[in-house]
Amino acid sequence: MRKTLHNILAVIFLGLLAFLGLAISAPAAQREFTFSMAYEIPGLDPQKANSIPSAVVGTHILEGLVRVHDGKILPGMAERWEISEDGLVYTFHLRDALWNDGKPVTAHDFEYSFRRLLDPATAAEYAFAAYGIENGKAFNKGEITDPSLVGVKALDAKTFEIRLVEPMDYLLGYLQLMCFLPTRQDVVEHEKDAFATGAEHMVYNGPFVIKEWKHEQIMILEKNPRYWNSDAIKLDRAVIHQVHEQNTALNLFESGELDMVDIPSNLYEKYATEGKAKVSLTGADDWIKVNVRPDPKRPWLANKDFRKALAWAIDREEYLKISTKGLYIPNLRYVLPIVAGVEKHYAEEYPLEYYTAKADPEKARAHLKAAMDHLGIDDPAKISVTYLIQDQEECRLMAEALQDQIQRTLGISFNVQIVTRKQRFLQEGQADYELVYSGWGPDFDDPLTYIEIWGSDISHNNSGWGNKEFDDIVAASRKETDRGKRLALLFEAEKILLDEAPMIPLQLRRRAWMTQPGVSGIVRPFIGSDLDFVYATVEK
Amino acid sequence: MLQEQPTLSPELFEPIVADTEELEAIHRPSLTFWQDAWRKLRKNRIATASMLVIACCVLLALIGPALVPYGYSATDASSIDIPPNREHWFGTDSLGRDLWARTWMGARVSLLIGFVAAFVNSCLGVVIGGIAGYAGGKTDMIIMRIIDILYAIPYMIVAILLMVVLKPGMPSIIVAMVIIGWIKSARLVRGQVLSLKNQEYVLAARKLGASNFRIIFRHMIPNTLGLIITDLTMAVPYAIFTEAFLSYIGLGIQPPQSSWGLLARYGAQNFRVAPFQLFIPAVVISLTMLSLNLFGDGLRDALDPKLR
Amino acid sequence: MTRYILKRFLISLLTVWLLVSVVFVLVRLLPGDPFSSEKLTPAIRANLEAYYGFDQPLHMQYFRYIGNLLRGDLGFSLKYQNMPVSKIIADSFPYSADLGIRTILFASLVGISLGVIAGLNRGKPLEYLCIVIAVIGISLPDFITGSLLQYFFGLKLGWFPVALWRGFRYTVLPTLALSFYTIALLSRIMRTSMLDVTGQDYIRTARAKGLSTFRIVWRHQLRNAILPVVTVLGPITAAILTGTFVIESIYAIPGMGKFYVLGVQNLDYTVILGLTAFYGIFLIAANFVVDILYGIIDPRIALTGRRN
Repeated sequence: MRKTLHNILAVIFLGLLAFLGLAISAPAAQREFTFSMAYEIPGLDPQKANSIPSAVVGTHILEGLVRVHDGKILPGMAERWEISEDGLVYTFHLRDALWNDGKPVTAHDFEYSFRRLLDPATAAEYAFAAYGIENGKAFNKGEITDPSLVGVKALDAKTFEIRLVEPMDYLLGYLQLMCFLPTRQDVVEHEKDAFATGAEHMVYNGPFVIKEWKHEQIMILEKNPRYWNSDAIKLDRAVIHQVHEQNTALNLFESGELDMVDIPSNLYEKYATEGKAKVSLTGADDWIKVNVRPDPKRPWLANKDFRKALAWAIDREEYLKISTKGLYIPNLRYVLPIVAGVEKHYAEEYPLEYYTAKADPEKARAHLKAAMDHLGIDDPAKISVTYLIQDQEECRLMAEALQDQIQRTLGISFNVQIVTRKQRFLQEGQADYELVYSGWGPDFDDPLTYIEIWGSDISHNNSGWGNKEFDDIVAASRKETDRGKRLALLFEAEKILLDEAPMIPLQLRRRAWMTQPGVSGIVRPFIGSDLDFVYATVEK
Repeated sequence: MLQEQPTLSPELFEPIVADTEELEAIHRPSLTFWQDAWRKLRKNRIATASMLVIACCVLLALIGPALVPYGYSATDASSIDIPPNREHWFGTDSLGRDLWARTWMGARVSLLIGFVAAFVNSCLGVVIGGIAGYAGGKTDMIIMRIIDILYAIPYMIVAILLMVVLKPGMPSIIVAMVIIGWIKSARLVRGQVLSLKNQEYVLAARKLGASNFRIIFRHMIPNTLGLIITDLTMAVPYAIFTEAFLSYIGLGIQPPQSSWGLLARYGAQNFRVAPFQLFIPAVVISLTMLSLNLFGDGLRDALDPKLR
Repeated sequence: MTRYILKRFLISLLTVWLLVSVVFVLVRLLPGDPFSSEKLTPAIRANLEAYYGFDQPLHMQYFRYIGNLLRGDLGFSLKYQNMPVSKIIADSFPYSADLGIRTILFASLVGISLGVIAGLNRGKPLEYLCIVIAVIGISLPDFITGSLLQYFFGLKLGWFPVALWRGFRYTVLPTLALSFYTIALLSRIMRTSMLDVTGQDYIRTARAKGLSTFRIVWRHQLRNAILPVVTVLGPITAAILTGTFVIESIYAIPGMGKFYVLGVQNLDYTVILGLTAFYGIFLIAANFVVDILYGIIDPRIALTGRRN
């Protein structure tokens, strides 16, 4: 009898255990999103971050005053804001949000972070992004040393004010950049050199927190239960593998290890035909920069007709078809067409097809003839140019395609010089080049991010080209408070740039990518971070 | 009954004069070491066949690109990644260029670089390694520590620095390969010489008063030749792929030129789309290397003093 | 012997110091600087240079670096923010060493066996099979074998995982891919060396004494033929243990290899220096072991300078 009771109890006990065990080992299905990055995240200190991988993680673990999702500016830590009549003062009202350790997010955190960004001792690479703030540039350059003079101020614990030098109607979108994301003074001062080097060495106020970070190997993000909008976050986890080789990432995707992968250009056609590839512009806009400084050894480079001859000799469509399988698309103007206009995209409101996708050999040769007549050269074979590129397989293929086209159409000799990336920067900086493969990625959603770098006093413009009219128009646009009028001015500047041709537009880069079935809500932005999975979900 | 015996007079006898000349004469044709080696090499059918394959390769490198109507650098958007067919014997690459023309244009670069770099490396290696091993003591220590340092400097740094100093082109590629390339041969030779210099016959030669020069050239080098040849044949493919690396970082050949190493690199990148772009350079390189190794083996056997 | 080891140790320290000093100068000669990027402005460059102490004169920077090095401080990476170089090494070296030890063991076993088989079966089909294996190993560099193995055995056949590093099954393909070249090299050298030894007098003596073939091969031939293999294995071991860029990239292994290449590409001076010093120590130690092994394998080799 006792034995039976024992047995019955034992069975019940075991049954209970089994039940509990099941309950413990099988919680609600985890929604996990796995992808890979080609490079190790160089750092997660928001003010010091300088790379796309950092921005991808940064925008998911931290949240700034606003959050940009799919091109729309949404309230972030600030639930509302006011802009003064003259467009110079922005006042942000912060919501009641918490850091993951339970402390409230305050306006002082933002004040500290913005000042830290500009502090020369921080040596933040992106400090230039805050030069539009009152005294920001002077403080960063060490011309003034009192941080309280910088135009950022916590009016109280929940109100943050930014004062600008000039109206920047694109400021709200600009604030999505990683360098404007908040940090907390006590954490930075406590961690010192270890700050943001590991999961436990930082605090989070974004949708996710870092659970595990094995450098060069894997990073695991977990949903942040203290995030103010955590109900809207559907993913439980995100896993980031470090995979340097693109082909390896693709193989991992095909074997089911990754939920999302970028497609290399040589396989783009294949996956596009299968209907798997999604494409989006990366924001990168590539061109040939010409060193237009007069030089008796190469007088043709200073000749506008010669530069136009090159521009018209390039068959952009064919060149991109053979070197990138049509993944990159011809750029027929200068500014990225999809940056914001007044209501729609800039290119829809200010359309321009300056060059054509196909080459125009007649026009090219006519320009060449005009140039040769002016220079007194009788044979195109006497003209030789060198095109500087950096050591990437893709660049080499593109240069080889260009080389063949230009030599065939114009009969000049077109040499390609391959150097390391760092040497390219050096030679560009010292204006030690003839033609260089160059480009720009946008920092904010406005044509100005592309136009302003051609100002004659801007260090990025090392082409030797400078134009008073262009400079004046850009300066005038900076004072303009009406967005439509401002963009019209920038459009004028863009046309001057194309007419003068210190640069020859080539292409707009696109990325091709694909996801496993069941993954949805992934956005690939073209500013700052190139991946947004905040509101993504995975149904498996 | 008695027959009269002819009287034997001394006149009847003629002394046989020992002709030392004749005694010592060698009746078979005399062969020097090198003649003998050449004879043995010709008799080795595999080595001869290998030699022919290499000769074919060189021939194709010279005339191959001229056999097709396509320029090696002419891109063509209408014929991208086409597998081998009647028009394009080796197919086309991702820029629509004819791979037959590119393969044999590349052979010029790769074969020249491969052989010259490997040969110069081996010569330098033999001299430096030989000195270190034979002299021993302090000389050995200093040479070997310099080698350690040279070997530990990341090659990429050396290559990039050379790129700054030199103009891209064939001589620079060879300089870039030789600057570090001799080290492997030198260590190998030094190890052998260390072991050989205390062998009985070397001791004997030394006690008999042979000069260092004679010991090195009569005893050491013939006895390390096998290893040197093996090392040389291994160094050729190494040079071919190092060239691809150098070209990649900009020191090597300039666009639109091609080389086997670069073709293989492109092929490996594009292998999912057009596998033949990898297989063609891989097969051509492998076949050449196979011939070279078999020829090298034949040469080693022919030169082996103990198998004479 | 103890005196010799002590002396070698002191010289090794000197060599490492020389190496670090040479590389310290060389990296500064590389064109460009660590901070340059698409968006850098002169004012921000000045801030960065001050932050990392690059505004000091070069000799001050050198003395500071050497001073820190003596205290075991390798400094911070210039690319990976707040990341000490010693932590990079500590994090990544175990993976590289793991893969490296597997590779060295596997490759030595297979390579030496192939070489012995080839050497004992001269002119027979078995020898040619060994040659073909070896030639494939040297003709197809790791970026080809690595991606092909991954594609066929990982993706298409599914026998092994495609990439990543989570357990034994994950190590098979990278070990194989990394072994190819070493197998080829060792087997070719071993074969040549075996043949060189076959004709030696002591083998003939052993045979005349009536020793079994196995005993001759094992006791006499192998021992004497292994010397060149030991020579090449030294630096190869040091190189493979400290990581290889290509295979670690293809198989997404978090090893040290990619830091060499990315370090040079980014001009991350401290990372380059730290890794070079680390590798240099390995290399010098490996070559030290090789020299000691020489004496053990062949007692006639006297490195200490005493000659009989």
